[in-house]
This record gives sequence, C-alpha cells and structure tokens, in this order.
Amino acid sequence: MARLIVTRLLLSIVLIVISSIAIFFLMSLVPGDPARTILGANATPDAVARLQDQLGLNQPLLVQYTTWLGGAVRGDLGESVFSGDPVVTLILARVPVTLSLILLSTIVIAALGTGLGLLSAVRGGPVGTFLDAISLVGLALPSYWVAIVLVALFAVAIRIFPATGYTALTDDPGAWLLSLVLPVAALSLGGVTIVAKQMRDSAMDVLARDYIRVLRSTGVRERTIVLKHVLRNAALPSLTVLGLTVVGALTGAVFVENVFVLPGLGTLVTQATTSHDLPVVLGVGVFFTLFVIIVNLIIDVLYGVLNPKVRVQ
Amino acid sequence: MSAARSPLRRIALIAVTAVAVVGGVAACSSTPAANAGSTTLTTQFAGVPISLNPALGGSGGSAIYTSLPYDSLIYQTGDGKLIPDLATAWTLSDANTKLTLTLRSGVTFTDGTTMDAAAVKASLEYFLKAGGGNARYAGPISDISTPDNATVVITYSTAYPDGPYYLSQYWSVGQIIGPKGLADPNSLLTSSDGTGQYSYSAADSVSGSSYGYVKNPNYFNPAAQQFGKVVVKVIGDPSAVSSAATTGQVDFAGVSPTTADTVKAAGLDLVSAPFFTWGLTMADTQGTLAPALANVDVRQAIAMAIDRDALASALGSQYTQANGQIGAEGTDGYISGYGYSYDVDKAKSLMAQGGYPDGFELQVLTENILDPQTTISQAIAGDLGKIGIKVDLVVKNSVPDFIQASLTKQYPAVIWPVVGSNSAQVLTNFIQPGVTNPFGNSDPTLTAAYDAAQSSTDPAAATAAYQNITKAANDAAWFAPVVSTDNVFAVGKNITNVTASALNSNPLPQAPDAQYAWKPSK
Amino acid sequence: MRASSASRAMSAGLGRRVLRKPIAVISGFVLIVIVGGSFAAPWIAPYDPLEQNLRIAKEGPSLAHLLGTDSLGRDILSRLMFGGQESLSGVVVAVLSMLILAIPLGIVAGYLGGVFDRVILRVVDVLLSIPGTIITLAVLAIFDNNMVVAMVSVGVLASGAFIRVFRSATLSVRQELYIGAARVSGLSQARIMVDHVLPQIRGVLLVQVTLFAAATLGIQTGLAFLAFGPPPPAPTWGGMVAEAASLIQTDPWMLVPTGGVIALTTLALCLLGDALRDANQERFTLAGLVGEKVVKTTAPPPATPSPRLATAADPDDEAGVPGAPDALLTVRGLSVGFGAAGRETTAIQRVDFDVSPGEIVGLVGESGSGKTVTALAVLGLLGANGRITAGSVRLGSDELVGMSSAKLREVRGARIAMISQEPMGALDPSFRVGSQIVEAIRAHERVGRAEARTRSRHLLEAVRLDPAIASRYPHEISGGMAQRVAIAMALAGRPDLLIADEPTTALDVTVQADILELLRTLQAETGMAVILVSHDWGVVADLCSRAIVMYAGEVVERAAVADVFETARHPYTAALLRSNPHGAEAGTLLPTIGGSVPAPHQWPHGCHFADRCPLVTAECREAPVEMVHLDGDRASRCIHIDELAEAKV
Repeated sequence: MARLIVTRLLLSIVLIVISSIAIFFLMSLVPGDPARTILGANATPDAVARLQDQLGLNQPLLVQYTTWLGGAVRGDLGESVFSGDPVVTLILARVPVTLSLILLSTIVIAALGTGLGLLSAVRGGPVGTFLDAISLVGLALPSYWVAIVLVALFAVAIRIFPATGYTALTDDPGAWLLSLVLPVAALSLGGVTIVAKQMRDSAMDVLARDYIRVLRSTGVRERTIVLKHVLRNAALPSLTVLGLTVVGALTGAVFVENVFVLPGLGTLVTQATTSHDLPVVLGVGVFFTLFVIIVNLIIDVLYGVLNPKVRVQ
Repeated sequence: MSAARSPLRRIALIAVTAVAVVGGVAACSSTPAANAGSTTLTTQFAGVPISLNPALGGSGGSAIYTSLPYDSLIYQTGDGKLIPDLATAWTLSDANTKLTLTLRSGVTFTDGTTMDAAAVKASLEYFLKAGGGNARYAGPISDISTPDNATVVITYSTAYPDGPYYLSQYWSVGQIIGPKGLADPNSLLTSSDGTGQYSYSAADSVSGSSYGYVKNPNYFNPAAQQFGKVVVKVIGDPSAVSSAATTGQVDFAGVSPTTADTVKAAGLDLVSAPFFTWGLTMADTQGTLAPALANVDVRQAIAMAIDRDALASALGSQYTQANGQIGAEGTDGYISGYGYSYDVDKAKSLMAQGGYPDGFELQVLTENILDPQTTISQAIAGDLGKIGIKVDLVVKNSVPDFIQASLTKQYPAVIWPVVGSNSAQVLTNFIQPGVTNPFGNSDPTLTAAYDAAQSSTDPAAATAAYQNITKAANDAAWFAPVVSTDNVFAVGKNITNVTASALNSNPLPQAPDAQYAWKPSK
Repeated sequence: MRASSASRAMSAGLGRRVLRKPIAVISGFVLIVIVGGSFAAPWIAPYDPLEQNLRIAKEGPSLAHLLGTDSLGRDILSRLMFGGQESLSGVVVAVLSMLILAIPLGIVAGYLGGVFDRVILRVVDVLLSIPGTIITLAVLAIFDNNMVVAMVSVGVLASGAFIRVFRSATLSVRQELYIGAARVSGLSQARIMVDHVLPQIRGVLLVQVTLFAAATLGIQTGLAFLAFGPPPPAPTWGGMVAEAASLIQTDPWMLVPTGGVIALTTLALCLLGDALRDANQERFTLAGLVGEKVVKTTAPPPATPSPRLATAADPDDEAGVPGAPDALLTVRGLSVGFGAAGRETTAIQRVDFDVSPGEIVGLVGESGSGKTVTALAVLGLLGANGRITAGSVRLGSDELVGMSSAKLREVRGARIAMISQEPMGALDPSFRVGSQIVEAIRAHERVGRAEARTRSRHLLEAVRLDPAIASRYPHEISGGMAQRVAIAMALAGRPDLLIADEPTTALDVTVQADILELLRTLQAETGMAVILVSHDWGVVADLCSRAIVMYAGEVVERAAVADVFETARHPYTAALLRSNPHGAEAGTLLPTIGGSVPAPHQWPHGCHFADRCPLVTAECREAPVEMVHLDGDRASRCIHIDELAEAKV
C-alpha cells in the first residue's frame, strides 16, 4: 500500500508537468492580449507595450513557461495579471467553496446512490421500477437546467434556501449548509443516479452468488445479509464509478458555481479564461490535476481496504 | 417570516438537518441572510472591477469599486447636480478652456499625507499617462498648474464645458490617489490610498467575487458616513441578481427589466432612469469592408427598417422606450417627437435608390454581457432581413474581447449602447476614435455642430446646439438608434434615499453631504 | 475458418435480441423522430427558425405555434428542429473522435499486451488527469467558439476512459477458444484484431457509444448554454435553455420544451444503451446455458400445464405413499415453477420422499434432473424467480410450505442446513473465515462474541481444521479447506438435517474422499440426517442407505441402495448405473443411450424418459406415468417394470 502511494505521487508530478504544459501552450494560443484587456479600449499602444514588458509577455513562450515552472516548484504560482493577487492566494480563498460543494455532493452521491441502488436491487418489483424511472429522469435532465428550476422553485417561489452566494463554514455553519443545499442538489442528481444504477447492478449480481444462498441457509437475518455482505461486495465496482463521478463533479462545479454565483474555482477559471489571465488558469489547472490524482489515489486505497485480495498484495 | 410560510421553513430545516447528519456536520440554527440591524451595506454589481487602481478603473456603475475609497474632486448627485467634494468651488472661464478648482482643506489620504494642490496635480498627471480606458474623458488638457496650495488650474486646448462633469465620481479622472499610492501603483491593487469614506479591505474580499470596504476613520465629514462597511458582490446573471435581491442577500442591485416585475412583487422598491441608447453603429462609413455602408441612403434605410415599438414592448415597455434619436428622453438635446420611425416601404425604396435593391450581407459585432441573450442584436438583425440585408452576428462573451475585436477594424458595424447626459457627450462616441468609431471617422458637419455646443456658455444656447447635434447625427446616419433602456435598480427594505435620474442613472451609496447619501432604514 | 464463423454466429443475434425489447424499440423510435426531425427541418419545419414577430413574443403553445414562441416571437418548435442539427452533429463528432482513438488503442493494448499495453495505459493516465474543462474552454477561445473543434477535443479527452473499457473487453475476448484457433491457423495479428476481436467487442462498443453520446449531449448543450456556441440568431438547444432561463420570471413555459428535448434525447440514448447492454449480456448467458440446468427461461409455458399441475397438486393421487410416522422430513407432491406468477415453467413436479432421523439419503440424477431445485425448495431458497406451486414439505410436525419468512429463517441453519457444490463460491470473499462461522453461530444462539469464537474454534476442530485458519480470507485457503469451513458453518446451528449438494464435485479427487469421510464421521457423531445430492453412484453407494433417482423434474425410482445395485427397476436408473458407475463429469451425455435430459418446456406429455428409453412403447407416450409401488420400500415410475426385470437392460 505504501509503495502504491509513493509511486502514485511520483507519477503525479509527471502528470502535473504534462498537464501544465498542455494548458500553458494552449492558452498562449488564445487570441487576445492581457495587457490590452487590463488597460481597456482607449489605452495608448505605448502603455500596452509597457505593460506587456512588465508582465513578461514579450519573452519567448519557453522562457515564460520555465519561469513559471521554476516558481511553481517553490510553491509560487505567479500573480494574476488582472488583479495582481498571488495566484496561490486566489486559489486558497476559493478552494473551501469548491471543496465544500464537491465533498457534500460526494457524500450525498455515495449515501443516496448506494441506498437507492441497494433498495432497488433488494425490493425489485414496483419499487425497483419506480427507482429506475426516477434515476432515468435524473440522468436525463441537464444539471444546469435542474439548477435553474431549483433556484426558481426553492429560492424564489418558496423561499427556503438562498438563491445564490456562499457563507463560509467558519462564519456560520447553518448558513453554510443552507447556501449549499441547492448547488449540491443540482450537482449530485446525475451522480446519484449513476451510482445507484451501478449499485443496483452489482448488488443483483452479488445477490445471485452462492455465498448469499449459503448465508441464508445458515439462517442469518436478511437485513444482515443485505447491509453487511451485499453492501460490502457490491461496493467495490460502485467505488470505481463513484471516483469517476467525483472527478466529473469538478466539471459540473464549473457550471453550477456559475449558476449559483458561488465564489469557487469554477467561477474563477471561467473569469480568468475570458480575461486571458494565464497564471490563474494555469494555477487552477494544476489544482484540478492534483485533485483528480488525489481522488484516484483515495479510491485505490479504499479499494485496497475493501478488497482483501488487493490488500495482501 | 410570515406564519403561513413557517411550515415550509420547518420542512426545510428538517431536510437540512438530515443532510447535516449525513455529512457529520452539526447544523446550528440559521440566521436570516439580510443585514437588518447591522450597518453593513451589501450591494451588487454585474462585473468584476476593471481595476482597483482608479486610473485604470471603469466608469459609470463600475465606478463603485474605486469611488468608495477615492473621493473625486466634484460629486454628482442622483438628480444630476454637481456639488463640492474635494473641490469646494470651481469655475470655467476663457470660453470653457480654463477650469479653476479650489480644494478643501484638512483632508488626508489613507497614507497619512495631506491632500493639497500638488497631490491633486500629481494624481491627475498620473491618470493621463497611465493609459486607462477613461483617459479620453479627461478632455484636451494642455496644462495643470497649482498657483497655491489650495488651487488647481486645468487648461484645455479646446473648449471643454463637460470638464467638471467628468471630474465627478463616475469617471475616475477626478478620483484622487495619494502620493504613496502613486509611487507604487501596483500596491493599489491590494490596498487603497484615497481620502474616501471607505478603504478597500483585501481581508474582507474574495477577488472576482466580493469586495469589502471598511469605514475610513479619518474621513473629513464623518456625519456623511452612513455604513460601517460596504460589500460589493459580483453577480452578473440577471436571474441570479433577481434571486439575490428578492431573498435579501443584497440590499441594492441593478436588475434586468425582464425581472423587474418579480422584484417588485417581492416587495422591493424599484428606482429607474434612462441610461443606454441602443442602436446599430455603422462604423465602416468609408465602405472599406462593406461598400454599401458608404451610401447614406442605405444607412438611413437601415435606420428605418427597425420596428422600435415592437422591440420595446417585447423587452418590457415599462423600462424600454422606442427611440429614433441618439439621446435618451430627459437628456439635454432630446427633441420630443423627432427621430427615425419604422417604415419598411420607404426603407426599401431608399435601398433601391442607394443601388442595393436586393440587399447585401453585413457582418455585425456584438456581445452578450450588456445585451443579455443578444435579444436586441437579434431583433435588429431580424428586422434588417426584411429589407434584404443578411446579418451575420459575431458575438463576444466578454466586454474586453468585444472592445478588442472592434478595434481590429474587421467589423463594418457594431452593436453597442451609448450614453451621455447631453447629445454632445453621446456624439463623442462617434467622432472620437474608440469602440464605436474604430475607423476613426470624422465629418465636418458633425464636428462643427459639436464645437458649437462646446463653446456655448449660455444654457439655452447650449440646448439649441445639442438639439442641432441630434438632427445632424440622424442626417449622417452613422448610428441607427433603436431603443433607450432604463437602468433599473432594486432597493431593499434596509436602505433608503436612493435616487436616479436621466442625468445620473447610476446611484452610488456615498456622498460628501449626508442628504445625498444612502441611509440605513433605521 | 471455423473460428470466424463461430464469432459471426455469436454476434449475429444482437440486433434481433435488441429488437425484441419494447423499450429499445420505443427509444430507437424517439431517436429516429428527433434526429429525423432535426435533419429534415428545412423541409418539414412549420416556420423559418429566424422569422421573428415581436408582436407575438413569449406566447405559450397554440395551434399556430405548437410549442409557443420565444422572446422575439420565433416559433420554438422550428428552432428546436433546426437547433438539433447542431447539437446532434456535435455529439456525432465527439463520439467519432472518441472511437477513432479508443477502438484501435484499446484493442491493441488488450490484444497485444506487453509494451503496447504499458505505453497506452500511461497515455490514458495522462488523458484522464488533464483538466478537460479548462482545455475545452481554451480550445473554444482559440477557435473562436467553434463547436466542432470543441467537440473533437471532448472526444479526445474522453477517449482515455474508453480505451480502458475496450481494453478490458478485448482482454476477455482474447481468452476465447476461437481466437486461439485463429492464431493457430496462421492469421496475422492485425487480421485477428479486425476480423475477430472487433466484432466480439461490438456489443460493449455499442453500449458505450450510446452512453457517451448521452453524456456528450449534456456537455454540448451545456457549452451552448454558457454561450460558447454558434452565434445567435442561429438556434441551439443549450442557447435556447439559456434564453428560457433568462425569461423564467415572465415566461417559465419556455423551459419545458427546451429542457424537454434535451432530456428526451438523453433518456432515449440511455435506455437504448441499457437495452443493448442487456441484449449483449443475454448473448453470453444464453451461450453458456445450452444444456445446463434451467434457472430462468423466457420460453412459453408448457403446452398443457393444467393437467400436470392438477396431478401434482394432489399428493393423494400418487399411489399412496404414506408418510412414515417417524419421518424427519416428509415431501409430498412437491412442484416448483420458475418465471412470472401464473405462467411458471415447471422445474420439478410431483416429488415425494421421506427422510428418517439419522439416515443418509442419496438424491441421484444427471444435470437438469431437478435434484438441486428439490434441495433448495426444501429450504425455501428458490430465489425471487422461483416458487413452490404445489405440494408440502413437512419437517417433523411443521409444514414449511407457506411458512412465514421469519419462521423459516429460524428453521434454516438450526434444523436444516446446507452445503453447496462450489466451496470457493460459498464463502463471502470480503470477510474472514472465522467471522462467517461466528455469524452462522450467532444467527441462532444468543451468545457473546467470545463464546461464539470459542465455539467456532471447536467447529473448525470438528471439521479437522487448524483453528488458526479463522483469521484467513477465503482466497487464502484451498478448495478442500473451504468446503470444511462451509461444513463447519452448516453445523453451527446444530441441524437435524444436512443437505449436501454435490459436496465433492468441484474438488480434487484426493480431497473428495477426505470430505466424504468427514461427512460420514460427523453424521455418526451428531446423528443428523443427510440428503446427499449427487450424480456419482460411487459416492452414493459409499455413504447412503437409500437412493432417490430423479429424471426431468420427477422422481423415477426410490429404493435402498443395495437393491438398486442389484437390479434397477427403472430403465433410466439402469442406464445411469451402466454409464456412470463411479462418476463422470456433469453434463456429459449418457454413453449407452443418445440424447440428453429434456428442458422443462420440452417435457413429453407421457413418460419423460420416453424419447431415450429402449423399452418405449406407444402406451408410454399416452399419459403421465404414475409411481408403481413394489416390494419393500421400492417404487418406480415405469409401466414396463416387469419387462425391465426380464430384459436386464
């Protein structure tokens, strides 16, 4: 297990470098000039040239990238060309929002997805059909559409939840939770249905196994069989799907943060992309890559914990 | 929270508690999101600051980011009057070419230094060389002198009667930066150095999302300071703005006309005033890209092909007025009953007369930030189809991208709103180089009409000159005006005394005199 | 060449099986309507999508405008039809880009393995960790909101995950016999991958394509929603949702058709994907089920179900086998059906037998004869799909048929226990051996953990295992050890009756004898009764005092084991004895007589064995044959018993 973690972390450095190179050179192809963007329509060419010089935009791309990489190694991701804030500060200020959103969604997806999937596998019949229908509808509706309807329904028509914005957990835990209910609902709907579907399939597979029949033949309670044996064995394939869903939630967060005006990394990267703020886009890119690597690592570790065969190796 | 609504509230709390249990988080009882009882003002603006350095910052409504910490020389009230701020008095002389300002005494910058003539001169000069987007509004300044510690004299090379207007809080020219800030302009991005009622607080801000300003303890008129703290939240999407306003998350918000009714139904006050005049700017009057646009008949035909009334009603007639001239109703130079009106037959005959009976293809640049869903742009494009002009819309998703694209001179026509408190100010959009005049066109008739208005010192004569501009602009038909839209603001229950007018349609919270400032309700 | 025809035959049925599913047909129809409507829009759309009429803006559905009008008074239906062209071709572009990369790389990695596999998997790692959102946003900015390029990048970025899927599909295909045959016949690697592997993973491919198409539609419309798409006034699905969202306060209706068409398309794609996956899995299940015992079948119910059920429903119709007064288990007229209630396919019928306390009874027959179903029916463990349709199972004085599941649970383990064929599959791989035994103990006895552990040690000792084995996982022990653990679990509840379903079939020959010896010893020690399900006469002869022979769902002969070996009183028993005196592999044909056990829906009206019987006469086929009671305890379901005795078949 320790070896797995170490090799993964070493690999992650390579992945981050590759992914930052990809982002860097792609972004540098984006038409538009940060200096011009900062100075506005009526800026003199002189002023633009001076600012470009100051931002180091006149240097060859390779030099720009090596400079950035040199800083990144020391934990310095540069400064936003637009606001002048250090990129690390910008990202750290927004990480709690995106992480809250994704963590809560993950919990909701894991809990509801597993529960619904298990229920539908065990009950079958009309309950199963009903759950199937719900999950299909959930899968079919685009998340941004759901987000809009949720806001219109729960925030504007009947004012239960705040429509937009974010309260920090440290400021007011109650308000924090309230501010995340709708975004989390919009973000997790698709994931819940995917995990539930996977859970149902693998639970049905497990239910057909010999050992379940043997457990029944020894008179073990059905509830114990389902909650202990079926859940544990069906969890493995669902875990992989959960990992993919969490990684996908990162993309979803970009849409959802924009609809709910949450000050997270998704809104940051959209703004930075439209304003050609390369250091910020790169910084968020590195963070996203790191996030994907960490999620995959956690899934692998959990897999090992849940699956005795992997654990021994 | 009314009694009728409480069961829902309870259901919500149960639901939330359930989630809390799942998440292993203890949910405390929630407090209402509004700021009742506190002195924090939470207001909304649609975009991020163009810059927190006033010399590079934005104008109009986006001036809120820099006008809170930086006092301007002159202040414009909600009904459009110019009143003293850092300058206690000013006079225009020498045929509108010399502006003499008398400065307030006993004012200090955040950095501790005293605001005096030298500091003001240094700030103005920095502004002129910084190259910000508002530089053009400074006027044709040829010299800035300081006869004494409390006097600044600005000399213009040509008549500039709007000088004092552009030194007000909306245009960043007149926002005065302290000497230490000028010495290190980059420091202005993370801390402010002005004399304003509030100072920028990076600790209370999330860049790109919300900007916090705290009370300045050294402000020269503490009686005018109404709030302990001001927070500006960045919310762009009209639906999100409407939700934020109706749920009390912001005390003040610029709402879209399409959501105004909802906001009103939720019990909020609405304040509105005409602001933008929308239309099609036919920038390529030389015909470099689109030869047809060199023909004045074609340009006039275009102006006649647009069904203004239908568009105004589709956009919500309460806050949109069909407008066939360059200025909005209520501004100086507006002529009642005058202007282009919808006449497809006449437009078609003009097209034939101009040599384009079958129309032509026209590329039009627009954006979807100020024109959400490009409704106005699409309506204009659709109407031009009726006289055979096939419009190819090029839409930019950000204002800077739009501006940059326009300045590349690759688009023969653009759709972009123009503003001004008189028609001369509006006309500058078309006769000075810029986003609505990327090809740098000029026209002797229009320039003469503009110059005449600039040099008139008598108000009645000025109005006549402005009306003359209105007619000249329509005759030249560089701009096909379509509708004027109101700025509509939702004012929450927690604040009062918000005013707006055709002359000033962007209310800002602070004022050097308490009677013009927004106030907490209790 | 045989290999190639085999692989073709295997995949040929996929299309037909999909068409048999109503959901697939409906989804396919919806997709055809949407796609057809979009691409035929220039000819069939009611209005020009750009034709605006501001005076009828934001109207609800009407006869003139079936789905209403938008903020500029344009017809929403026409705009959706034209908008579909852009959204759907975007999906096609993304799917094609994904396939162009994922198919060759996935197959090469899975089939060739080695360096190819490692390099490709590294590339996949990179593809999966690059933040797709940012790349797509950058691509859109570079190519001026060109959706085609953006969708290509979506396809490329997503290909990583699909390379993995296709690789593992190839890995499993690679093991198949015909691939080996193709390799031996000297075909080039490239030819094998194209001609044999690709058609085999076609099912997986189609499923993934439909699901990816659904996901891509979400991304495509999402980007258009955020205004990264073709510029207005050109209609796009996402752009129309954005417009509807901006009008949500004044014209909420518009959200319905705009979001609806996206939801409907996604739904149809997902359902089609599901149906394809099911059809694809059926293909393998059906292929594997040929000649196997029937668990579940979609075949029509038997031609004449009623008389048979009627016969079975009344145990007194049987030639009156009285229940032995001291019997531990009495089974009478037991019939079991699988499938939908009321339309079951009968798997066993009219089964009667008794088991006395302490007796070891052999239940003998070929695969498909109904032995295992009988055993499971006694325990009430037929699963959701099967049920007892008639008859009675009495344990002592308690009737088990119709008993509540809570009561039945108390019976299981404590009074009747079971050990099954496949010892490795009988243990939950995720839990330690010891904890599973403890669980079985605590299912019936309220004992503390410590005491349960002590008992589990004793049980392990009783099955001649080192108690230290308790801390191992099932995959860490051998098959023989696993079977001993399974026996320990079965003994945990101190049952009166143990049903051992082919307990040694899956084990090595050397271990088989040990396990049988263990069973004999344990039986002697505990005095419990045992039903030994087996097809191996040697085992039966070794352990059992009596044998019950089953064929095609019916008991055909009951007799003391010694008597059976002396003279079989049923032609089937005789054939079985001759062909399989000491055991042979399950599923093989009887060497002396042709044919195999008929599946339930093929059961003849008369004697089930008629088609394979050397003594068959027209009379045999006329009516169901009843049990004939002979001297002693013997009984046989044959009308030619006398001839059998004479002919010595």
